[in-house]
Amino acid sequence: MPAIEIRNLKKNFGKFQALKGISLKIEEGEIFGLLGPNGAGKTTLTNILATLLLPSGGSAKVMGHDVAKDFLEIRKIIGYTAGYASFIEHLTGWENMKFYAMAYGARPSMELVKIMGMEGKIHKQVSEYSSGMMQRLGFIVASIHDPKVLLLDEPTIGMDPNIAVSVRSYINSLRSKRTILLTTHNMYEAEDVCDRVGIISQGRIVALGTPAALKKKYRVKNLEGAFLKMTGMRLEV
Amino acid sequence: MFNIMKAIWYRNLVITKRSMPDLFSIFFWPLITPISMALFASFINSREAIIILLLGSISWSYAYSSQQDVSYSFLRDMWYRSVKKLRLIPTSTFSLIIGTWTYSIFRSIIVLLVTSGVALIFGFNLFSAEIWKLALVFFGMNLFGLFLGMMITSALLRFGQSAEVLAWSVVDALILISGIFYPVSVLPESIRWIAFFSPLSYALENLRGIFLSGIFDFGMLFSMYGLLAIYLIVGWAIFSREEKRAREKGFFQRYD
Repeated sequence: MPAIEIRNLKKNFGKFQALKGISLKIEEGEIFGLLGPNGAGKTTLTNILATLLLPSGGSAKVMGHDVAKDFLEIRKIIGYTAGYASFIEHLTGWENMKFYAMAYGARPSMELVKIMGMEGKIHKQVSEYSSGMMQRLGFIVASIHDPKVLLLDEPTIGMDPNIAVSVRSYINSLRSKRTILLTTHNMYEAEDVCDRVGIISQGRIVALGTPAALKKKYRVKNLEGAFLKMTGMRLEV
Repeated sequence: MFNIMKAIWYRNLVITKRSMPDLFSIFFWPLITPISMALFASFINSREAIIILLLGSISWSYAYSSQQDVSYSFLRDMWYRSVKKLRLIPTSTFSLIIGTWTYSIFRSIIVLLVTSGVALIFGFNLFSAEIWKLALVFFGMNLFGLFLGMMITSALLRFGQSAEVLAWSVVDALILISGIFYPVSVLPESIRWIAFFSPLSYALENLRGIFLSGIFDFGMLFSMYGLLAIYLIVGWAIFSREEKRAREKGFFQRYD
């Protein structure tokens, strides 16, 4: 059974078609990268998988659970963090983490704090955090309940390069232990951590394969070249 | 359900401890009306006026606190753009609402103790009445707070932050037409009928009855709980519909 199975998925916002019939399978333990320009449908797709948005047509399943019907089951097994995380400012990072840990029936994790390089900052109030620190806290909260599937929507955007390296190394360490769907603008990141990537443009998957296979197919040196060939546009970094 | 309730209590307690506006909403603002009303009643030198005005202002503060946490909790997550993370927690919306509502009961009881302490200074002991009678009336206000909280949250889900003004105005508007310091009969005829649909009218009238004539009106109590039962069913149906609509329209997507 694939960890994520999407069949002819559509999402309309009024007359605007954000997703125009996407089909995709992501196997258990796979790290899958979703690449695309702004407005291509990446966030819409991850939000549907996270059960925050109902599809207009087609179906999507996470570990066999339907996103429209079994949303509580799915929420138990997924972790999600988006590009610009935000938390209640009156609380410290630790207290925010503790709140989510309690809600998930888990325990706050100092190990995750260390991986994210937050040891010295975790007991400070979130109002003092930079956007990069918020982002790291978002990553910690997304992983606090040890989810089977991680949905990471631009997890390293806004992070210092050295922290981004440790986050990528953490993602790499989860290979074959967790299923990860990662959306990113960072081609280096996609090549570094993803087993397969899909390029999404205007609500459709226009290319799908391993980074090596895509480079070979489009006769380009890197993923950005493949991306340019498929979408005719440059990524905004 | 207990995990999310525990988590909400933990988070709200920390926020209350750290947030000056929150501390003021418990220990300062609820005192303004009782103190000013008690001073006014002392000035006109009427024991009956003291009881009416203090009962009214204690009830006003209690009713306000009763709905505050249910709607504020969601509003706070909108302000801090953390609605999305909250909605990812594997818990039903019912558990989320009940979690915030139980905290609002705790907060309103503290407000009641603070305001009744002020009343004691002016010679009025709220707890001279039988506690079970007070508990039945004030718990009705808590249930009405739950209904209002669900309705305000529904409005926030539909109209976004522009509806936040409802969180601090609805109770004030309702309490005025529910006979806060006066019987409903003194209201202009054109708006008097509205009071019959407000559970607060029955709560206030019953409280005055307990202290002024020694009569606890079970008919009014049943009317209040009857209305509350209808409102809670309707409120839940509206809230569930708005919640589903929010998932269709991508509301939660906008708050992270």
